[in-house]
Amino acid sequence: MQRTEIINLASSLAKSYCLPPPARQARGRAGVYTGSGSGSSIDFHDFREYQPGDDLRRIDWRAYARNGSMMLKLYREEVSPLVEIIVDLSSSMSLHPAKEQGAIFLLAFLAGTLRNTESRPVLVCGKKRFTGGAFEEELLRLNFDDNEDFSTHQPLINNSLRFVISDFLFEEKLDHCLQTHCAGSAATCNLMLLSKSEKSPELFGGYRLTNCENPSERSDLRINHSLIEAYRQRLDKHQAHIAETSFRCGGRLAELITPDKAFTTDSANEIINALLMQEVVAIA
Amino acid sequence: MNYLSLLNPYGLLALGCLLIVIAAYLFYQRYKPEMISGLFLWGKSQTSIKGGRKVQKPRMNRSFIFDLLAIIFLALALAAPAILHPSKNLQVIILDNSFSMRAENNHEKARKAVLDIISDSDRSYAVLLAGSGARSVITPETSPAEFSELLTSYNPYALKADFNAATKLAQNLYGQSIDIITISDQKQLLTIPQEISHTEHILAGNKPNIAFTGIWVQNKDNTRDITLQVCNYSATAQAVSISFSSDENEITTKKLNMKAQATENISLNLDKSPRPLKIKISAREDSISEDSVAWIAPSNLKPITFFSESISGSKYYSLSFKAAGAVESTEHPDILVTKAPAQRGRLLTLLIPPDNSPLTFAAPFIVDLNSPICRDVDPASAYWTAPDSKLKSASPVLISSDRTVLLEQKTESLFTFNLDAGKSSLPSTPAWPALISNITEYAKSLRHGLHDLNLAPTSSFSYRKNGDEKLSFRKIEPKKGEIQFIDSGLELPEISGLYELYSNNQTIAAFSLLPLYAQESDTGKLSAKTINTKPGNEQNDTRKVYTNLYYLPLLIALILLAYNWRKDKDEF
Repeated sequence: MQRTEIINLASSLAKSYCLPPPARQARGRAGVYTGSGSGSSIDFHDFREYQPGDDLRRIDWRAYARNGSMMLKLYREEVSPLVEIIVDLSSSMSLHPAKEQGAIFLLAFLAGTLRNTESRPVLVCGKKRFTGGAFEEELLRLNFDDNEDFSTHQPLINNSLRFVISDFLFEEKLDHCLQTHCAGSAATCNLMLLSKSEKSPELFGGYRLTNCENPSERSDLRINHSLIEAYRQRLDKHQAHIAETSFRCGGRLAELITPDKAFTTDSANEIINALLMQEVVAIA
Repeated sequence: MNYLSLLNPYGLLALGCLLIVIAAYLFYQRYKPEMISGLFLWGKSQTSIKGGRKVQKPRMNRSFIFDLLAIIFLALALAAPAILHPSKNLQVIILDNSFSMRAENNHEKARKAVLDIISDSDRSYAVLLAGSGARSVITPETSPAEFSELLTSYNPYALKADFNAATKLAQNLYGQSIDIITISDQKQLLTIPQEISHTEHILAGNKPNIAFTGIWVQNKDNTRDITLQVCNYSATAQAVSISFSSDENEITTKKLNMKAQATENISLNLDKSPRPLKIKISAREDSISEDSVAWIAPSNLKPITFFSESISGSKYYSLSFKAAGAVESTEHPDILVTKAPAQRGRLLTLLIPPDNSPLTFAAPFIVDLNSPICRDVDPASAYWTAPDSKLKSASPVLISSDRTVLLEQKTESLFTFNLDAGKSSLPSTPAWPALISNITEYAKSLRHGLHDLNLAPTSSFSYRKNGDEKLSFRKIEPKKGEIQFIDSGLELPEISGLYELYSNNQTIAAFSLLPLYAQESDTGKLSAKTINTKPGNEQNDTRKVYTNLYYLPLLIALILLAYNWRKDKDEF
């Protein structure tokens, strides 16, 4: 499946979904989500003393009748949150074709979903940011060959909603990376994108395993069931660590599985189902 | 002390398979390259191995080690490990299984001797038969109750007795250092390895009227304890002395005062002396000349000549052997002892198959003057003798094909014979003469058609021949289909043949002569039975019975293979 087809598929599927309300109020332009400041929604927010120039219609006359002070009723503002989508461009993301295609689909799907809620997604690729039309164009030419530090990118916007798309299959600076992505955000959702063989390896026999991001790291192993089981246990432990670290930073982890070779419509539906199940998106 | 040994050391050659496995691991245990994302999830990584090598450094992984161990244990199982249990209580008895043991019923005596030996319940016994090959008939595990039954199957039939093979088999079965009793009628039995130190010898001898059996124990200091039981079956002869001598020197002589038909036990200890040991029993009888150990014709027709002497190993003769100067019956009804006259010829013991054998045949003996053994035989002195005994019969001595049958002569004690039955000097001899019976039988066959000739002697025969007509024999070529020879299985083709009896160039009858085989006595003396072994000196008797342990390494190897197979299945 070509990348254009994947983007079109994601855009068409995203029409039926939207972002669930963020747990913490985010900043942004007027929109449909409750913001962190006072606004014009119908949800009561706070009281404050009247100041000249305030709208007289919001004076709480009952309070004035009780104690003679002029108190003003404040209501929640409604915003369209600012969403930053941070994508891991390391070569491990393109280790399997379907994994790379899954990442593209996920980016396009999230962008489409966000547009349904009048949000403007920002694609953060390393030190570059893309928004609007540039977002779509960047999806077409995105290359997963950047082996730079995943945590090194442009400063992120405070109180933005963040989606981090990566496989998180690294140990070094993992905590730093998670903390950086969560710091100052309204909410951070780490989307752990794994291929099927990474989630459940099917290697048996003698293999010389080489780290795709660092070919000098090799290991000759005779892989058997016990080694596979040990791999799974380490992966579970790794995921638990990511989830715990994310939680401490105010974020969370969602796992998405892609096939190894061919990314199909079924694969897209599986990713969407996983997003729904883990409440990353909701049905519009 | 029990110790571990390998019954089949050649099984260790299977260890060569280790090289194959190692080579397989060297050349075929390569690692397929695979790019992955998170190497840290697979465990410790290595950065020092270069890829692309054709030969991998062998890694001591579990599969490799288990394969090697499995091969080692399989090879060990093939080598048949066993725990040997040495014991001082095993006695190996080697019985001469050659046909000559039938002479003078020696096989019966040997059988009895074995039963006497094994009556000692403190020891365990193994019995081997030494024939053309060797085979074990009684093992130490055999219960005493089965001994007699197993020994009844001891019917010597082999053409020769290979004692070396029997000894080797005994050593293979029971160890290098064992105690062997050898019972045989041969002079030189075998070369006994030095490890065999203590050897017992059985003596048994029989002559027409004297029989003796006994045990000869060779002590470690090379002295010998001899216990003999001498039986004098003679009705008149009185044994007066028994002498023991080596080949040249007389060792000792013990006086006897053994009356006729008496039995006496003799025990004595002999100092160190060379072997073989000759034992000679002399009897007081005017017909006996104990110094003349060769052929003797007793003047009073009551020969009680007997000798006990070692004889050489069995040797089977072809045509050149078919000579005998004279015939003398023995205790055994089937055994005729022939002797060349004038003490120049060799003594021959002709053995005839037992009565129930289709080969049963008695005489005639053909004198072939061209035979080396009869080089000095004077045809005029070729006799047959017929001792006046109820149990004995003799057979005619006939000269070879182109000579006429000897005329009957009667000169004192010696008889010659012609075929004039009416003038036979031995009309009362029941089995006499077989030749006439054969001719008669063949004459019957001529009337009733051809069939196999049964040349068995019969006690009831009739023969009529008129007057002084002389009969002659000659060998003729059989016509195909007329005579069917009985194949004896013995390598004596030349002695077999079709002979005809003729007179005045007219064939009266024809008969076939079946093979006999014989045993030579090179000492010039008659012999009955000799046991001779060569003792060793130092080591004790040992018996080695083993417990097989091959199943242990086999079991371990199978477990290793099964475990490895399961692991391999896991891995691949």
